[in-house]
Amino acid sequence: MEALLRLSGISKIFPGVQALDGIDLEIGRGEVHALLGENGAGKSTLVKVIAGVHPSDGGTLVFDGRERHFASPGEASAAGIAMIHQETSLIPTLTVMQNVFLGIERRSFLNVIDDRRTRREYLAACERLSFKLPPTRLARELTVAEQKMTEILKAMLRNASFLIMDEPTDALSDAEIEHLFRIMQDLKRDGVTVLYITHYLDEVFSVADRITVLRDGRKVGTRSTAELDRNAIVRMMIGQEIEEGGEFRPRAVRGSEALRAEKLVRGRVVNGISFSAYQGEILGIAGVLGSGKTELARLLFGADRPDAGAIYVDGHLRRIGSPSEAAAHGIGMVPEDRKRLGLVLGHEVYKNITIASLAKFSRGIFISKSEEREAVDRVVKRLSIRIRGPAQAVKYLSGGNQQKVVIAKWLVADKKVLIMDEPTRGIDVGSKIEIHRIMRALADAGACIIFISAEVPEIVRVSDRILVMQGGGIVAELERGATQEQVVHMMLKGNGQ
Amino acid sequence: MKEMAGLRQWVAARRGGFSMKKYGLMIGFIFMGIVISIITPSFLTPTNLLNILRQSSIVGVMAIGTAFVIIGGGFDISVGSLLALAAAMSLKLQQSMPWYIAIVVVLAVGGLAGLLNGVLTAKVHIVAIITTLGTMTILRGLTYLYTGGYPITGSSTEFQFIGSGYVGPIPFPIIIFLAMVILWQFILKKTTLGRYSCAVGGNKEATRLSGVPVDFYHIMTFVIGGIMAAMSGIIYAARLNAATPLAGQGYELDAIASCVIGGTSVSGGEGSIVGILIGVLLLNIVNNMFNLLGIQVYIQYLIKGVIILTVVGFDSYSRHKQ
Repeated sequence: MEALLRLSGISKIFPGVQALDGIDLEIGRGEVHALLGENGAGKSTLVKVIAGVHPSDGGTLVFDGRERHFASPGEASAAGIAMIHQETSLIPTLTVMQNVFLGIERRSFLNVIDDRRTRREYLAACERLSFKLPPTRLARELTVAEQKMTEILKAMLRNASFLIMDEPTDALSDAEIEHLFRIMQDLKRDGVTVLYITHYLDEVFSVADRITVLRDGRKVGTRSTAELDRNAIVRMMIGQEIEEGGEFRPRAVRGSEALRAEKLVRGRVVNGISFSAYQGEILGIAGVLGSGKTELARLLFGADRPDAGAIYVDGHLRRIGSPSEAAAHGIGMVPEDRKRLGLVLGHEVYKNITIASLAKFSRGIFISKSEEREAVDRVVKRLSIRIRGPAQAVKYLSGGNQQKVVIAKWLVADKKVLIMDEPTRGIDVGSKIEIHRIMRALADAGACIIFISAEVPEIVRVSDRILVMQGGGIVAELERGATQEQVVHMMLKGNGQ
Repeated sequence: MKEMAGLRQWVAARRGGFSMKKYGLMIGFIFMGIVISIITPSFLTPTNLLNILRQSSIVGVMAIGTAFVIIGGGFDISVGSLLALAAAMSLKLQQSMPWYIAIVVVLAVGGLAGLLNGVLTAKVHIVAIITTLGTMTILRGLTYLYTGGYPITGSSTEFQFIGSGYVGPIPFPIIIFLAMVILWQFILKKTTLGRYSCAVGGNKEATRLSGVPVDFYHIMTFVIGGIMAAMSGIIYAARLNAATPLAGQGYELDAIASCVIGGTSVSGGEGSIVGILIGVLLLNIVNNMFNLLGIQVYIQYLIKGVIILTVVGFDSYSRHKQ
């Protein structure tokens, strides 16, 4: 097979993280190629390097026989590479057709937009891909599947020969996924090459010719799907190496019940979840993106309100309608997106650390600077947060240190229940192990840690008990000692109820 | 030794932040002062300096409230209209009650107007500039209704002292302004109210997820804005011993300009009350200089605009570069 895209030694470094480490990859003309790997493995970074979103820090990229250095998505697009992002890039107030032709409007005499020609080309493209998409529908009225179709049309009308899709099936129903796969096959017949990222193993076998698995920014291997089965892929994703940081100590004692959820419901994303969490334990909640983990965490912390269900803290029924009520009942949360939800980025480290516990350092409304300073110095030392001084703005810290600041905030606030949503996402291995140790120490001191992660190795390593979520419900409860394979199987689509 | 190292670290960390622009502004301010005193000898006389300060104090007091609103992530263009209503009320109410009670009532009305702005913005989720565009119009309308469209004049001599009295050689409005700067700078830096106002403006959602009742503090910034605007209205009325329904038009823009020149970020989250002192003085010094030089008033508008764009442009561009 002739190679359309050839990567050799592609590397990418983000501050504090080696996101990609010497990736070699060849993708043949007209191939459907799946890119797999756990969260943080580098899949998204790799496709973004290919599509010109990030420049690479090393290595070469040969596309269509020529060495290329794409400095922007525009340059990659001009060469025939189109990328469909996880989030839609359509403009909600424009029609489907206007979106498809955005930036490549067909013009006639005096530069007026030529509606007839536009419509003719639109319908021709639809026919070629057997799409039924009314051109005058507004983009905001489209379903997720129709949005994807519109984006594919957009790419095709820009004469893309190489189409990248980042988790295209994530929010689709089974029937819609089926349809998308047929489209991929049609594209392939048309000579278009497709590279797509996915979490769902079953799909891989029905559409992909070959797969590549990434782990920790390195390539594990590229195989033809014909020579693989599900288990083999799972093994490639997880790897056989011993986890870094040595054996992780299980809980000392399991105390009394700290938090209990009963039949929590919110929309279609959380469907009647019940569970208990205990003092002294790290309760892991595993699940792929979109399984409802984050939504559950937000309900427990009052960031969103449940449609139905009850939350008990220390055995008492509590009404948790807002984060400040949750905090008053002794619950804290480290949110999934530290930059957007966890920190006031422009503000100083000490202000971020004491924001959840300012009352402790205040007489009435007056803040005692010295007490505040003392508490900050103590927690900075305890978590070994590397800063130039407490007045440094958090935006200048590395990801790991930023995350430690978020954790420090709740440490100082001294909560009995701490919900941690992806606390190690996007941070380096050293900080990750440190954060795991902090979690253990907190639990040993009597706290109840609810640890949410899509990263199976760390969930298996750290948790005393694991709940596996899928489609807004809990599909399994596993005790400590469960293997990564067991957890991954439960997480993936098709094994649920 | 160790202490010194710690101190150096602290200083280094501070320098890494956004203080560069603060120093830049100070240098510009001093430079301008020198230039002006050279070309206009009458500038550096005590009478003239006190005059500038007194002219600055009405907008300055208003700008303190505006700064809180902007720091909290909002915007308030209704304060000019609120000044007019407050000025009219503080005079007319004195016809039926003692002047000090009138002041309390007027400040309360200012707080209520701010509360309305705050609730519409934080709870109903109207964009702040539109909220206050609406209340700006309403407050101006109320002022017309209240005054019947005519100027209101006359007040007690005690009341007039607020606007035109002297303590020793210093005009009383200057003392109010400086006292307010000190008070609100303290509140901004040393109290939970100030800290949370900054946090709400810096990242409201992250602050909410830290368990802070963010809507309350968001609304409070508007309440402060309203009270300070009412206070500036009282000084205005006491100074002129008269209030017209047209009073205070355009003051909101001067107040916003003073904040922004003084280092308050329009995107919220950070600011300084002391900076307002510099901002409002800078605007008035320019006016003063042109008056002393006998240059057309209209040119002052141009220069004012250029100053605002230069200061904010420098700040925004360096921020974007980061």
